[in-house]
Amino acid sequence: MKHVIALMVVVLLAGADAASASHIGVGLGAFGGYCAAVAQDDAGSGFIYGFRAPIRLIHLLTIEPFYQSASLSDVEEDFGGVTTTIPGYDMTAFGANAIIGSLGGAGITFYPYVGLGSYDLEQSGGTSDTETGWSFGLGLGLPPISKFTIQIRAELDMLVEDSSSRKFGQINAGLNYNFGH
Amino acid sequence: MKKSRWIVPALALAFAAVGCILTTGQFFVNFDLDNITVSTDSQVASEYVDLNTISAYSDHKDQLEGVSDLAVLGTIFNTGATGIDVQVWMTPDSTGYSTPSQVTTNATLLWGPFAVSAGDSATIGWVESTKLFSSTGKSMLIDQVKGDGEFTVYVISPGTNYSFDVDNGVLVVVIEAGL
Repeated sequence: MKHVIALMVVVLLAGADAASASHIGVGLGAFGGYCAAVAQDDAGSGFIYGFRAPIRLIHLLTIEPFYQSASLSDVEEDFGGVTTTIPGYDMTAFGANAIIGSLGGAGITFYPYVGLGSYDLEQSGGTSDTETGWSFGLGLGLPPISKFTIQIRAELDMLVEDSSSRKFGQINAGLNYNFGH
Repeated sequence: MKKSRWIVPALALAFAAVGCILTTGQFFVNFDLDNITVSTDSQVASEYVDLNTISAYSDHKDQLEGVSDLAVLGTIFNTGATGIDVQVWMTPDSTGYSTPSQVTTNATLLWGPFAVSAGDSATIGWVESTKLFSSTGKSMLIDQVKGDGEFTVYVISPGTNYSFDVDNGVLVVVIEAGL
């Protein structure tokens, strides 16, 4: 948790510095999509939404603080002839992505990214955990229209619990506004 | 282009570093306790549990990393004239205690109490069940799941005059293991 907050501070300071430099782009975006538990018998799927603020630091690197929230469905499981409901998780996370490449250009752009964040998993009426999570993804940026770009991404979020992890796959689409040139 | 050549090995290294963690999942291992009848006459119902008979456990035992969650499920019918507080006790080995006092003296409280009024029935919900585990019993059960997967559970109720049935009883363990 502490190193995620420390990373966020560094990113925000870098962003503030970056914003003052004329050649560096700063954006703001919102996204929505679908999130599904991967290889988890006890977790469901659901819609996800969030916000992100890409800050293009250098030609090949964009740092992007993000916030996201998902509400995952209950799991209905039959145990020995009786159906039992396992309440779904509410997942919220904040952190930052490091994007290799550009989010937008003259044409369609592809970019990989890696993220680090703090993830809260809260089960309705049940347990609540905060874990450090990594995200790995691939993004697609469509050609800009004025200062707006459409971003489509596929991502795997991995919440580390000791020597195992909980994983969630997500597909989302979003709209970014670029404050830069 | 030359400047970006470091990206591929860097990503490969990152994936290799998290590879073991990346290839784990959460799986249900449910052991059926079947239908249990506990009365003043028998006083104790016991079940020898061998998780190795369950494929979800035996298939992942070699890559077992931990236990994510536990639950005791089923429907309890109180067929007696007084209220009951159902408890599940356990021993890490195969044992054959036949009285409640033997159980409470020699075994470890695993789960409960789950209260059911006289003449009533109640189905145990997931969240409620997960909160009824004793810390000592939970620790012992996790050790057994990580160990040989064999142990004995006992179902009793405090008091001397009780009678209840457990229908579709099941012990569920959510294991964290390699895919």
